[in-house]
Amino acid sequence: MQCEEVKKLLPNFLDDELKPDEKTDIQVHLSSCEVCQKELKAYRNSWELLKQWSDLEPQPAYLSRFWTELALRTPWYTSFLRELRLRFLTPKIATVWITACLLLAVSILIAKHYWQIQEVEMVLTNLPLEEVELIENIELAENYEVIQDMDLLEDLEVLENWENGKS
Amino acid sequence: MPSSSNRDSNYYSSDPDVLLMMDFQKGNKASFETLMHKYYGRVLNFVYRFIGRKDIAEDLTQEVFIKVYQSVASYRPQAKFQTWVFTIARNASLNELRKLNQTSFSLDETLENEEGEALRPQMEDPKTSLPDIKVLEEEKIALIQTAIQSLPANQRTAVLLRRYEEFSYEEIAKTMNCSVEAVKSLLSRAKENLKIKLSKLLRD
Repeated sequence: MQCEEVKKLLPNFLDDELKPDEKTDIQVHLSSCEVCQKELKAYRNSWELLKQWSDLEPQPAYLSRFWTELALRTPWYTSFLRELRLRFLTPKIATVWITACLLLAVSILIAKHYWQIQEVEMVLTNLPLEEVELIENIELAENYEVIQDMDLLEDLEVLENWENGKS
Repeated sequence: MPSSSNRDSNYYSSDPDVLLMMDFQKGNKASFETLMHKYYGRVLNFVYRFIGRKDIAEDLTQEVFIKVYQSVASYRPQAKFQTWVFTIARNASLNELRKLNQTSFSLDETLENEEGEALRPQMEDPKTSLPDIKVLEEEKIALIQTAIQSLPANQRTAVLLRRYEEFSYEEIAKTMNCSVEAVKSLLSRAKENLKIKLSKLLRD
């Protein structure tokens, strides 16, 4: 490997980010080339120097500043909806809500049916005896009217047959 | 067969920071604060070294975390959490740089130290008998700062992520949305530039 080629690869060699064969070739070249050794040292030293730029410390109240800034930027209804969604509309909680609503609906239907039965019984309790008997035997009463109508119908049939015979 | 995005989501779900973010997604604000404690200082220093302005760095870091907070509803782990946060930080820094209309510093640009005093690299003064170590130290930092900020934005990003955040080449590539080969090339050129610009310090 020539010096020009090696010098191009030295920055990545420093990061140990070369293919194994390239790395080996460079190591072999460096073992006998003082110029490239000096070049590698210059790369390494300048890279190490960067670490001497020490970190900036955050302001102590950065967290409270963040929440204040966020509150100022967020319209009240957006915060409310977000809180609602985060607290009450997660998949797990949504399942619980739907189940609760279904149970409530079923309970209301059962209660309604029960109260209707109770209402009918209360009405029956307050009716005079004759009307209760009539209701209990409503089918008989309806059939009696049918029978009465049937007698009339039979008379009509007889009359019709007589008319037809006459004609 | 799961789609690649589903596979990625499952893969990155082992990242503890991703789990914290997903916990925050379910409503646990304490998880968000944990993430903020962990990343605030790192993001602050990335932004500060990128922009070079201490007065803007805190404001910009707050903006980064506001964006993180507001993205919670649509957050889907497609990378490590730190990759995602530093992508946001990098984009915010680039936008700020455009606003400031800076591309690079010249070596004669007046820099400030942490106390806000103007700092200019001094020529050697033969009359000085006892060197002021603090001043020399500040000058050194000023030269390093100048050298980094003289780099083009992409080289600067790659250097900051590699040197100060110790990102792998793959992580840098994901953060910058480029290939690993491109990262190798960027770092190679950046190191060449830094070697030249910091040669004065290395000679001393």
